[in-house]
Amino acid sequence: MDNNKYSDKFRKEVEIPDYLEWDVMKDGIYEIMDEIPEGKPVRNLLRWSILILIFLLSTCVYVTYENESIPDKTGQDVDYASNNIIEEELNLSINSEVSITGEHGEHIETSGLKIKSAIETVNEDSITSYQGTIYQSKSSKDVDNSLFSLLSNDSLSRQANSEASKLSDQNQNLNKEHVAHHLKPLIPNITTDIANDASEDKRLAALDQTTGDINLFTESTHKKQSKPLPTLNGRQKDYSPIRLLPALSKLLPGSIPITSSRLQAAVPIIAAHEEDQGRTSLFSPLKLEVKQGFGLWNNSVSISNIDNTNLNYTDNFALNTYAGLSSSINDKWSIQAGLKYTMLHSRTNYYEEKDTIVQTEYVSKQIINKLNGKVIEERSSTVNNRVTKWSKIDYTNQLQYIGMPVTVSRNISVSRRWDVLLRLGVEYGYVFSTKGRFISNQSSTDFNDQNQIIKMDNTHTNKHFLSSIIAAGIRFSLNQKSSLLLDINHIRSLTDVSSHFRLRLMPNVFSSSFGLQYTL
Amino acid sequence: MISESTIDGCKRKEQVAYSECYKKTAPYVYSIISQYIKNKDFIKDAMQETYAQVFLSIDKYEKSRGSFKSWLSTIAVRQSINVLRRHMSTLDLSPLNENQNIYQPVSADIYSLNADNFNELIADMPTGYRTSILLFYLEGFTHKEIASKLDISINTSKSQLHRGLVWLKKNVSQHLKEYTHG
Repeated sequence: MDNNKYSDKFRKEVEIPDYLEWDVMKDGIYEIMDEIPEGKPVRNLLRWSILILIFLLSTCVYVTYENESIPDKTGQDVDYASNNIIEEELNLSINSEVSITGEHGEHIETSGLKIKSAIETVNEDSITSYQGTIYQSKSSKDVDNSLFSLLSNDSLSRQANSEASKLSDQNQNLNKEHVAHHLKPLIPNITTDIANDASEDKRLAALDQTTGDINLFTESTHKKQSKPLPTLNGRQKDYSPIRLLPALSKLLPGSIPITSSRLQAAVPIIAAHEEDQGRTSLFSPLKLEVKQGFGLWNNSVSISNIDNTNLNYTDNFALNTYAGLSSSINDKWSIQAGLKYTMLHSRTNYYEEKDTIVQTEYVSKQIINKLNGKVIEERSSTVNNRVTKWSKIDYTNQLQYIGMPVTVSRNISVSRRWDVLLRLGVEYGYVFSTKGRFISNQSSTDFNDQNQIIKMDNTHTNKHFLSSIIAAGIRFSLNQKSSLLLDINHIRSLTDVSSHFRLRLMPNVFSSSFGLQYTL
Repeated sequence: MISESTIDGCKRKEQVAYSECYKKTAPYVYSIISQYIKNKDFIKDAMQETYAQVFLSIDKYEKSRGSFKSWLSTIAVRQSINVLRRHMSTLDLSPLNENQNIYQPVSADIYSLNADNFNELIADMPTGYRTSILLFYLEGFTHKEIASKLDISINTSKSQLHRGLVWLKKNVSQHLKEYTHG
């Protein structure tokens, strides 16, 4: 069956009768268009809105989860770093010795290798001791001394072992303390400090002073300073462990000034540094923000026939109240999400032209006394005069919605108290109330003001819409927990709020908001 | 049928474009609707509903999926059926007896009809028959689709089509004679 054949054959265009002309039909068509809801676009918009919201909320949850998991990771990092610092310190000595070997001949090279071998042994032992020290240090403050007292005088490796244990113990304690109070891992600073500040190692200096013979570790300092190695009576020093033993035997418990170790010396510096830098904390990453905004708005869709009418909006203003949470991603970036109530207010007024019948009274009949010319009786009548009357029509428009803005913020620290904030994001809006008369932005064949006014109510409103947010502001820290916020926002609707076919309403809001940020 | 600019104007909800679209396509839409509906008021209703639907859903029209004319005719037919269903409460839509041959071919005389006398002929046809014949032969719907659109059973659709064809066979010769002589 070929339905096209029948269709072509039996269906031909005919001239439409008069009662179906456009001028007759258009009102009825528009009326039906007003009644038919545009369901599918709303459904599509709703679907997309939900997807975007899920994505943004997932991002928030992910960021929050990541922040909460950082302390554990930091703890692990500290442990590993504690081990690494020992290895790094020992490797520093080893490398020093190897480089010395290159400069001072075979004899030293041999002894250097021996020392390296000994230190490698120490390295393994020190880790073991470090593990043990952690537990001991929890139960006894005297663990340092007891560890030292356990040192035998006949072994370089055991001496170094205990020293390394102490270092690691202090390191661990410092890191624990540091992690408990600060965000950043301590170790990178310390290792850098150690690498750059070997001359402060009084512990090693003590070795040198005690032995008066050799300078095992401080040679790393000399190497860095490119100074020639110290010699004994103009000869090369013998770095053999055998020669070290008598010197080490002179070491007594407590003779090494641990209290002035590089780690301990670094603590105040680090603490001061962290205090200066860190106003954010991973342990309390959420900040409560409350803001009140006021601004202006207009419809971003231009009114094509505005020149031909007397129509315009007046008293356009926007009010909003925001409450939300801000979570730090890092020192520079943060993400915000919350709820915002917004009211867009405006007035529409115009002069309506009306043909009115005005009754005018006139004297229709007079009875006059012809003798004296006086009017005896006067009868009046009224006449209906058709006049054009202009009356001002004034409507108050209100669009109220609950928004769910999600923004990403870039924090630029200007000084200790002042930050500049740049924010970018999207806002999902749910319109719960619309009323008033809005100006149609569709071209029309007649420019009667009254016909350009669109009555808006909830039935002609797309409940769900999306907006973009661009904001710039400043933050002033009152104290460690509270800050004042001041920002300027530009919120531009990306979708049409109106479902009326003659009106496209995409609010364009410029507002300034003032508020408070409190670290939870 | 209408230019791309007019369609784009309709998508932008411009009333000038609406007017132009209507003026250019109304004769075609009217030819469709008037085949289904004979009452002037109902035709007007169907025309208005068709164009309201066209203007509201023109964003969904994609040129790649078919011509504007066929898209328009689809909406016109659907709205015609809606009006029929709303206003014609008493359609003769009784099912066909099982022993009747529902595939009885149309008389060859029907091919001698032109659009004018075909329209005159079906204007006198009972609404149920006419609707089934138009949907089946001119729109190309299956009985299942017709049954779904008219909210009737498939058997009822088949019976309506059959009765319509019988009616056509019975009247086409007579109609042609009158048309020729008169």
